[in-house]
Amino acid sequence: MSTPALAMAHPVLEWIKYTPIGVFVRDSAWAFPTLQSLHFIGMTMLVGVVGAIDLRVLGVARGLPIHPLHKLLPVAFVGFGINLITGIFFFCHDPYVYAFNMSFRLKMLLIVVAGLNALWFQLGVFIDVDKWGPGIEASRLAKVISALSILIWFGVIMAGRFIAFIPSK
Amino acid sequence: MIDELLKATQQSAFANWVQQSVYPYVITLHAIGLATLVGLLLVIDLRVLGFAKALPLPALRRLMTVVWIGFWINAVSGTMLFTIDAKKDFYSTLFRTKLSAIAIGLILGSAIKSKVLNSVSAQAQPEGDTAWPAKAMAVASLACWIGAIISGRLLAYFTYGDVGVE
Repeated sequence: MSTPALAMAHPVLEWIKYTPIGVFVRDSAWAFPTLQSLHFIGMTMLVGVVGAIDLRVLGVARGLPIHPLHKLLPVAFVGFGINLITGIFFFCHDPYVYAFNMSFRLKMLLIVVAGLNALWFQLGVFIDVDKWGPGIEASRLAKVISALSILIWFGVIMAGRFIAFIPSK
Repeated sequence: MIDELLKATQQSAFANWVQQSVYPYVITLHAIGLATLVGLLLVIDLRVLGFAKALPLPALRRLMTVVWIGFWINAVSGTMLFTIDAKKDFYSTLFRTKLSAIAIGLILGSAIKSKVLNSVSAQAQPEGDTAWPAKAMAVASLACWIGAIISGRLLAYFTYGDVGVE
């Protein structure tokens, strides 16, 4: 709280900080560890399902048809929902720390990039997906998008872990 | 005797290096290994439970190779993290719960691979349903990994159940 940006009360962040959610997370000894557990479980659901699709596209476990693998995507979306909600709780807990943290900003940016990358897969190659039955090799473009997907999600995890180790300013 | 060993581990140059120089990178690797290990086991367990039945059971065995890569990333990164708090971790009920859950989870994962994905019925009917013991193993596997994640996360905040730590 030594930097000028943090010392100054920001009207929106101040409001967020004193929402019932913010007060609840700060006042409870159990809230933060419980939310963290949920955040890691949500991450596993999201990155696990997306990662399994990416690995198949890249040629690992090529015996898996891609279309039914996509049927597990609702699990990834539930994981994302869990992490969006728990993430909002973290932010309300101390909005100044997150809002002025470069690692947090990078994490948010990378999540948007991961979403656009998934959209690229959906619009660019998903039309071919029914053709990729067991043992069929995915297209080069699909492999590039899947490799990027894995890298971006690992980047999201890294940026998330680094929030606590980078000063907020 | 064990206390001296734990203390020496904590005070070693290696533990000091982990804590001072590479800690954020080690916990990053630990989270990536977790997502790889548990995330792919989740996909396998869901299929065994009857989701996405069009996924042929024997083909999922290849994912187990990557599961083990995730495990070894976490065995190495976890050992590095242990050296920092060796004594606290060793006597922590949360830490012991976490390691027990991992051990049982690994046994269940290996059993699902050899008894379910590799079974004669899975070879004959790759897109078939699994028997109830297989489904019970998948549920127990998921419970173990959720337990491992929760106890691991709580370990970072609490020293619940500590025995004889100053």
